Amino acid sequence: MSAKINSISYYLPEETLSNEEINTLFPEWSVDKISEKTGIRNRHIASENTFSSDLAVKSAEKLFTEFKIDRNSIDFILLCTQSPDYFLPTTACILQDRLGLPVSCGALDFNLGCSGFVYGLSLAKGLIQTQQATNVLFITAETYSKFIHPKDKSNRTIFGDASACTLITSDGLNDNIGNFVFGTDGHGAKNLIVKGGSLREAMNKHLHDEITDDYGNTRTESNLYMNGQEIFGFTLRSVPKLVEEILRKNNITKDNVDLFILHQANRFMLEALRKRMDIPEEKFFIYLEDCGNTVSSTIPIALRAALNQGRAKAGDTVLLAGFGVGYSWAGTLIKL
Amino acid sequence: MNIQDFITDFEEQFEKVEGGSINPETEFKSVKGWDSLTAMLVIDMVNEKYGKTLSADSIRKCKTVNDLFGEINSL
Repeated sequence: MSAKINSISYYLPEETLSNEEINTLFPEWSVDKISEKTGIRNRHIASENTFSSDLAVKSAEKLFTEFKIDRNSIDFILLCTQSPDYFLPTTACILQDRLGLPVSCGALDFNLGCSGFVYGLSLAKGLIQTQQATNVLFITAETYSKFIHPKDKSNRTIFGDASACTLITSDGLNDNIGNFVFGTDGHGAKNLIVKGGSLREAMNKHLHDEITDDYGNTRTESNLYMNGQEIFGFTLRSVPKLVEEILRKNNITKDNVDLFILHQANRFMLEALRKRMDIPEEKFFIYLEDCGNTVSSTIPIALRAALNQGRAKAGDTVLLAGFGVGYSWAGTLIKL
Repeated sequence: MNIQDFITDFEEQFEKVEGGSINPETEFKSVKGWDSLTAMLVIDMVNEKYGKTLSADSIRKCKTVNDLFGEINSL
C-alpha cells in the first residue's frame, strides 16, 4: 500500500499586520525595503483568544467542506505544532473531539518547526505503507505571534500565524511520496528558541528582563529569539546539500523536477538559495506575500497556492524541503 | 581580494549609500540604513563572492569596515 497527498486546505486568521502598520510602529524600517527583501506585505495574526487548536479546527473543517471528505473516514490525526494549547493533553486529542473524528482514531502531536511538514508526510507514509492507517489527517498549526515581543520588529516582520490541513490517503501501489532525507544539528538549538513557560527556565530570575539588541529589537528571554544571521548561514551551508541528497535518493536529476517548493522563510533567503543551486525562477515557487513565514505551514500553503495558480498540476514532480529551528531539516519528492 | 573592491561590494548592500562614501575606517554600524537585513545581505554577498560564511558574532565584534575585511580574510 502506498501513500499520496489527497488534498490540502489552509486557514489564515482574520487579524492582519501589514507593512504599513509595521512602518508606523517602527518608523526606521522602510516599507519598500521590507517588501522587497522579505517578499512579505501582510501577515495574519491569531487574536488574543485564538490558539493553535482553533486554527487547526478551521483548516480541517475547510478541507472537509472543500473536498467533501467524510470525517468518519479519518483513522489517524497528526498535529505538528510548537505552540500547543497546553503542555498536556496532546492537542491532537482535543482536535479528535472538536472535529468529531471517530474515537477509533490514532492521534499524536509532534514538535517541529520549518521541517515539520516533510516529517509529517514521512510519518503518514509510514503509517499507510505498514497498513496501520488509511486516511491520515495531518495538520500543521502555529501561533508564533504569541511568543514574539511587541517591540521585536525583525520577528514581527517575518512571522505570521496559520494552519494547513493535508489529507494523506492510501493509493494502491503508486508511489507518490518518494524517499526522504533527514538531518539534525542540535548545536543550533540556541539560535531559534522560546524559553518562556519552559520548565528549565522556570527559576530564571531574568526571564522577563527587557533587552535590546544591536539592531534595535527589544525582547525578553521568555520571548521568541531568532539569530537570523546564524540561521541564514546554516541554510546556505545545509540546504543545497539537502536538495542534492533528495535528488540522489530519488534517482532524478534537477531538470526532471517540475517545481521546487522550499520552506518559505523569506524571499531574500529563498533567492539566495535559488541562485546558489542554479534553479530557474519558473521552477522555483515563492509564496509568502500575504502570509509571511508560517513555519510548518509554509510548504502546504505554497503547494496549494501553486496548484491554484496552475504553477503545479496533476502528474508533476515536486521537490519539498524544510529547514530551520532545531536545527532540523528534511526533504522529499512528491508526485501530484 | 583588495579592500577597495570589498568596499564597493559592501556599499551595494545599502539602499541609500552613495558609492565612495564608505572608507576602511568607517564604523559601519553607524552608517544610515545599517540594520539586521543589511547584515544578512552582507553575509550573502560575502558567501557568494568570497565563498566564506561570516557569523553573527564576527559582525558584532567588528567596528570598522577594515575590521570586517580582516575578519573575512582570517576565515
